[in-house]
Amino acid sequence: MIDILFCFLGIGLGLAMGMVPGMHINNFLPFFSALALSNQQFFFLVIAMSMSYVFSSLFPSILLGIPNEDTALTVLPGHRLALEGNAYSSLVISLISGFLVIFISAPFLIVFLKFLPLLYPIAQQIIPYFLLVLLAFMIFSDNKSAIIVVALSSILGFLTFNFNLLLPLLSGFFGVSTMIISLSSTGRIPPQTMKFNSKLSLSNISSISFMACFLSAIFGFIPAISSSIVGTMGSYVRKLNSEEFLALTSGTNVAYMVYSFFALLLIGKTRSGSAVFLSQIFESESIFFVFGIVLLSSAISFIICLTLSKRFVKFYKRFNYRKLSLASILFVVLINFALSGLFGLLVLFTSTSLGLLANSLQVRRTACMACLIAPTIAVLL
Amino acid sequence: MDLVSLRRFSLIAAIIGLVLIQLCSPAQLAAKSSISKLQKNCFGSVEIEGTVTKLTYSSNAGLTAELTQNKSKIMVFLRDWLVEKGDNISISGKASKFSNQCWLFPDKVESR
Repeated sequence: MIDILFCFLGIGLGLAMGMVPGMHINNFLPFFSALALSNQQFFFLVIAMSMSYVFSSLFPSILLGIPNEDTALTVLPGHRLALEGNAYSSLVISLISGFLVIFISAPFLIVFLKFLPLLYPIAQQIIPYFLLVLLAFMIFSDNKSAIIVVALSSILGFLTFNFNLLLPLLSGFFGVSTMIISLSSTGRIPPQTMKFNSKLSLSNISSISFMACFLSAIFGFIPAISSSIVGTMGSYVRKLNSEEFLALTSGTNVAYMVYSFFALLLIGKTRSGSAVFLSQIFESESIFFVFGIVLLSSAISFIICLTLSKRFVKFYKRFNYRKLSLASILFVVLINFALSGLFGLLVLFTSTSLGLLANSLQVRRTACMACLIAPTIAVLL
Repeated sequence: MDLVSLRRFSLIAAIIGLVLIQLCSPAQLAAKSSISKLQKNCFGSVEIEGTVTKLTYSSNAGLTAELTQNKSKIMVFLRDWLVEKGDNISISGKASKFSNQCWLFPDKVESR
């Protein structure tokens, strides 16, 4: 009974960390090593923290345009919808999509139990060729200038591949560049609709959540394929509007986190910082026990985040947009300097320039994801 | 700023950034490094570029492993070598370039 209290502690910590822009649970996990807890307590704490973090990290990316490593692609549609007065709807769509993923992932779990150990080696061999096709598709499905953005982003990816610099890369491509463009807008945050104002029905969101689960199930177990790459794939597989894309990226983030725990239990592979941490203490925990924690912590986090959405949007609309963007840019610069030093700032400058270049050439910003895809192909081939 | 100026400015800035990253990259410092030391509780990987002649790994629990490959680029995952909690790990080998990554304790990775 006491063990379940660690679930609530984890939810609290995850919610708090997700709402601090730039904060990632991976920065916090090492401190847990010092705690003298039982295996069960660690599982409750870490899984609950990870799941609540995935939900609450949507707030800074949608409202402030400050992404973390996982929510980079959420920034673009989220930011656009927020400027159309639909910040509340954006948050609700993202939260619902993420929550539905938990239920949709359950049938996938049964499939995994049977087939994953067999499919894993085959998928690993096919993926690099699939990514090559995706890269080609990124170039040819866009205007002619896409090749410039893809080429320069790939070069940046190769130059930074050996260092853990995802935060400056993604916050430059999707965060700072968007905020710089927004600086030229009118100073005020547009009036926000405080009702759910979306053309997406629950069945639409469910079908996108299913797609997020499906893509994450296929690619989420392969080393080096991040949730952002899977989100990019999804955007090319099916034509999506801003709301649908937002639902897809949010769903993919949640699915990735859930599957990272399944992967640890089923094939002993670690695909997230949380799973790496749990792999150190993992003995013979049941997959249903883990899924139970995922379900409980996600349900509580979903309800809390949904309740907080309206309050956050009300608070958000009081700000002057230009000042908010400037403060966000400054915050991103400071957090990148603190975490990655001057070299991180240099990478942030370059990725921001590429984000601006993509925008000025009217190329889809997801083309910048070549910075992760091209080096991944090189590693896997 | 109009679209054409923004395009020109961002292209020049991106190219300058890429050149500076190449010139200032910490990877250049890693050439001919022989040992990467990863601290306890660290699950990480060591990437080695160039023709690897010999790579050995030993943990403080007395485990040792040896790997010899002639591929131009290999990625060694310490996880696959059953590194255990509390191990201090040292890796030695000969290669043209070493770089290391540590998933949980990036600040504790030391090269010498």
